[in-house]
Amino acid sequence: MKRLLLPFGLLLMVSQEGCLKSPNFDQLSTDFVVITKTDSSRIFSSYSTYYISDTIAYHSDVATDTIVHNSSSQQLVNAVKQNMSALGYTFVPKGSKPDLGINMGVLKNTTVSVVYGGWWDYWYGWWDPWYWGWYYPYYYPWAYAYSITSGSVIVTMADLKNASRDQNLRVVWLGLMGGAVGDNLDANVQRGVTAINQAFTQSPLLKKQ
Amino acid sequence: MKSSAVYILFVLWTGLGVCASVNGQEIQPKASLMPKDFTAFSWEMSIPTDNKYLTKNSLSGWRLEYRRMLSKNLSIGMAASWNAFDEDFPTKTYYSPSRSTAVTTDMIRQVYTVPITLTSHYYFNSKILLFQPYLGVGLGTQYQESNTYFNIYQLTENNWGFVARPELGTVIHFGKESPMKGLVSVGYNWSTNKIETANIDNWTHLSINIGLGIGSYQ
Repeated sequence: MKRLLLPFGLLLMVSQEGCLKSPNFDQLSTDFVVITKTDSSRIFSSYSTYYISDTIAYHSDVATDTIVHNSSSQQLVNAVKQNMSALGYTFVPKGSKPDLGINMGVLKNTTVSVVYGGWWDYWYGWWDPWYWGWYYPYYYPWAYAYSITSGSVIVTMADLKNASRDQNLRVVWLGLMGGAVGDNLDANVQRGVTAINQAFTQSPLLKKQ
Repeated sequence: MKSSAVYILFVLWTGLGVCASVNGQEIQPKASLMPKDFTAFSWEMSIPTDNKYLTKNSLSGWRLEYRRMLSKNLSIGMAASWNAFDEDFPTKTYYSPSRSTAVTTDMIRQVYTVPITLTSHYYFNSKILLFQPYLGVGLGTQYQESNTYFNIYQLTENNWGFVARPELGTVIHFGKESPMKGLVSVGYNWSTNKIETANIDNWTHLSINIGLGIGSYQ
C-alpha cells in the first residue's frame, strides 16, 4: 500500500500542474463586459429631465490626462443622450435644474479594485463635488468589486431632484463597461458606444412608466 | 442521453449477472478470481448532472485505484480521479432576482475535480470466467477548482469538500489466473464542493470508467 502513495501523489501533482486546460480565448468576444446596477427603490417616472456634459473624465497612465472633449467623447455622450431620449427623458441645460445628472468617465490601462461604496475616493478629483452647483457628498448605496486592466467606461446617474432632501447625491444608476482595448481608437470608441447601448437595454427599471 | 447511458450500463451490468448464473454451468470456480492485490488505471468520462454551472460532458479524465481483498468477495482500497470540464457560453444577460443588477457577457467555464477516496467493493460470484460484477462505494475528499473567463477577466475558486462515490461495474478476467484485469464501471460522484460565484452548494457528476489493471495472487 505504501508503495502506491508516491505514484498517486505524483500523478495528482502532474495533473494539477500540467493537465489544466488552457481555455481557447479566441472563442471569447471582444465586446465589453457590461454591468449595470439600478436603485430599485427609486420611482423613475418621477424624473423627467437630465443633464450630461460634453466633457467626460479621463484617466490613463499619463498623469496629465483628466478630461477629454473631442469627437470620440461626443460619440459616447450622444449614445447616452439617445438612450435617455428613447426612455422618455428630456435633456435640459445644467442651469435648468435637471432631475438627473449624468457623469461619464473613461479609464485606460489602469488597474482598480473596489469593494465598498464611496469608490470615487480612489479618484480624488474625478468628480467635482461642486459641479452641480452646490456641495453634497456622493452617496452610493451598494458595495461592489471589480478590476480594470485595460479600458472601461463608467456612467453614473445621480438624483439631483431630491439632493436637498437627501443631503447627498444619491447614485440611482450605474453602468460599468470594461474589457480589452486595442490601438484603434475608432474601434475602441465603437466598443464603448455598443456597451452603452447594451447598458440601457439591460436596465428595464430605468424606463419611465 | 445521460439517462440512456445509465440505463444501458445498468442493463449491461445486470445482464452480465444473469449470464453468469445461467450460461456458465460447466465452469464452477471454487473462489473469486480476484487477485489478492489489484492496481488499475482507467479512462474516466464524466457527465455533469446538476447542470447549474455547465452541462457539457467531459472525455478528459482518469482514475488510479488500488484494491486489496479482505475475503474472496470483499475488497478495500483507495482511488483518486481527475476530471476536467470545459464549456463555452455565448453572450447573455444575467439578471439578479430583483432585476436591479445585470451583467452581459460571454464566458468560458471550467471545472476540475480531484476526488480522493477510500473504497470498498463487493464482488458477486460469477459462474463464467469473463465477467465478475461488483458494487462499490468510495468516501473521501474532493479538491475542486472552477474558472470563469470573460473578456480579460477571470474568476477562480478552489476548495476541498466531502465526496461520496457509489459505483457499479464489472471486472473482466482475461484468464482464470491472469494478473491482467479489465474494469468497466459507472459511478455517481456527489461532493460538497461549492462554486460561490454561481450560488452552487455541491457538485455532482456521473462517471464512466474503462480501465486496465494488474494484480498479484501471492
